[in-house]
Amino acid sequence: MTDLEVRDALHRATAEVTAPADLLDRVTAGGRRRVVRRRSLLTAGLAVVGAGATAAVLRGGGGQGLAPPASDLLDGPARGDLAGDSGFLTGAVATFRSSLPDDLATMGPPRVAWAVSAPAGGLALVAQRLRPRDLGDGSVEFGVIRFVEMWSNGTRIWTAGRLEPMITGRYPSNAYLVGGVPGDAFLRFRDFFRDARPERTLVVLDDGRPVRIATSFTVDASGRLVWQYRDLPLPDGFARVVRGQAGLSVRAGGRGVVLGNDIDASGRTKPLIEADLGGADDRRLRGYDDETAYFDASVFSPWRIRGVTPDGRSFVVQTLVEAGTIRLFRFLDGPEPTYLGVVPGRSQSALATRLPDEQGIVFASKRSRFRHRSARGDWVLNPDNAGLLPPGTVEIRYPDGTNEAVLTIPA
Amino acid sequence: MRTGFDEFVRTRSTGLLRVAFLLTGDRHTAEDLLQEVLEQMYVRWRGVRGNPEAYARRALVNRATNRWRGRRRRPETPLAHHDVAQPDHSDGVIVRDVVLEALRELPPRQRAAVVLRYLDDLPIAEVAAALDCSEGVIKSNTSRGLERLRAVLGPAVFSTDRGDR
Repeated sequence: MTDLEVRDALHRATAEVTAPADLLDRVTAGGRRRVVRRRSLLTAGLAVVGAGATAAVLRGGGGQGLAPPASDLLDGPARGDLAGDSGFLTGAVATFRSSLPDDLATMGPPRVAWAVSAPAGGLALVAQRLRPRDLGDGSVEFGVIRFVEMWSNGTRIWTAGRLEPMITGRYPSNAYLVGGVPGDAFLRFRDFFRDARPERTLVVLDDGRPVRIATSFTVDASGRLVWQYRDLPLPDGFARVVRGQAGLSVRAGGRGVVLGNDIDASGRTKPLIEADLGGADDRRLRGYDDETAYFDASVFSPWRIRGVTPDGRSFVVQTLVEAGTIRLFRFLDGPEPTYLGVVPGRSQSALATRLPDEQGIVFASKRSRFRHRSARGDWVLNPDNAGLLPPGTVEIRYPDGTNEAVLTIPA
Repeated sequence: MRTGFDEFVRTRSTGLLRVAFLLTGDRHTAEDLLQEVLEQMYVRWRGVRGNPEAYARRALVNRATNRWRGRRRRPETPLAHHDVAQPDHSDGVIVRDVVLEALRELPPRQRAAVVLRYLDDLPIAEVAAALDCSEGVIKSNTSRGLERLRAVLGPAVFSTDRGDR
């Protein structure tokens, strides 16, 4: 078999694969949602990907009249087993200083908040107070932190990680995934800690607050996630925790902690699939997301389908997806949703649920053109990807990859 | 504001989807993967528009190599009782299934090297950039991947050509 023949085989294998017609619409809608999420997380466009971007925001700062917020990282004692190693602390601070942009509005000298020995060398978290700056949303930016690593593999090599802002009520985090998160070249924790399973290992730093952690959850009768927390001791100024597959949640001082290297979580969230069957129902699930919990990248997309029942009531059917758990909700009468349970199976290509009072069956699939029938009826073709079907529907067939999938509706 | 983004999606999404399809072995997964990558590019368009295709390719490869691991068949099941219709056994489908099965046997980076080199017709240097490794590694990966593909693809694909199946 020649190279040309291999090339030909690959082309033939993909000849029928074409992009969906609505891909641009989906991408644009999803992209806008990501922008909104980034803005809400990064506070009016504050970038955390590099010193230059941070400096650009900080240059415009005011700060007159704002009291410097208290912070254990800036004001408390250094923690960790290397906290008494003055040579290490001096080296860490010097490295931090040399990595700072010139135009930061600093206040006082930097200090090491946390220093520990790891398999590859020493790791320090260095904090620098900045002139407080009101961000206009009730929060105040007041400092920056940066991890500094000292590699001791025969020689001493100092490296500095990414500069991160300190913002009241938001940052910094005190929990980081050793393996990083997809798409984020944060620290080289993966190499530094030499963990066997870095993608499942979490580093939690002691910043003076009591820490609780949960690596499993249940869903209560209302459809909310209930995490099983336990106290996390930090004997050496930090702890490493190997998590399970259900995700994890960290609380420090009674508040949820967003993982430090999970600033932009949008890469882990599948785009919402929406179907509009009429009406203008804008009821949304509120309080059912867990914004500070961490979940692996989702395989499944959440769905939101809205429409009007034959007797004139608006409805919304929506799923939430976390760590492979798909929760199904329905708005029909009143402002509160009804939790319908965890969706059995692991389907992402179609969703079906029966409305009460013989109002029909809500169905949606990822692709257009499905057909359905009642027990004694003929097949009815629907050219769209969603519909409110008659309550007597017993079977639906819809496109699923190159096949036609069959969904049997229980009576 | 995002000048050129719509045009990029319209003109290049099918080509990228085909790459994603061979990388993941599954149409749904490939579409999801591409959508994720394009959404990410939408957000970062200003920074990636100089060479969006290279960015997209690299992102697809990175994400796909984290997904395929050990996946033989997509374990999709329905919300209720659900049967999958019989597959279409046309020649094109047979070739596709054989190719996917053969690619599935390759380690992820060998698979990516072969797909980018022979489906996308990329020069070695661009494949190396997409996979973030040296050209020598790409040559080695491509050669090994081809050798294994030939062993599997040769008889199956060409028996189909001759109408033996």
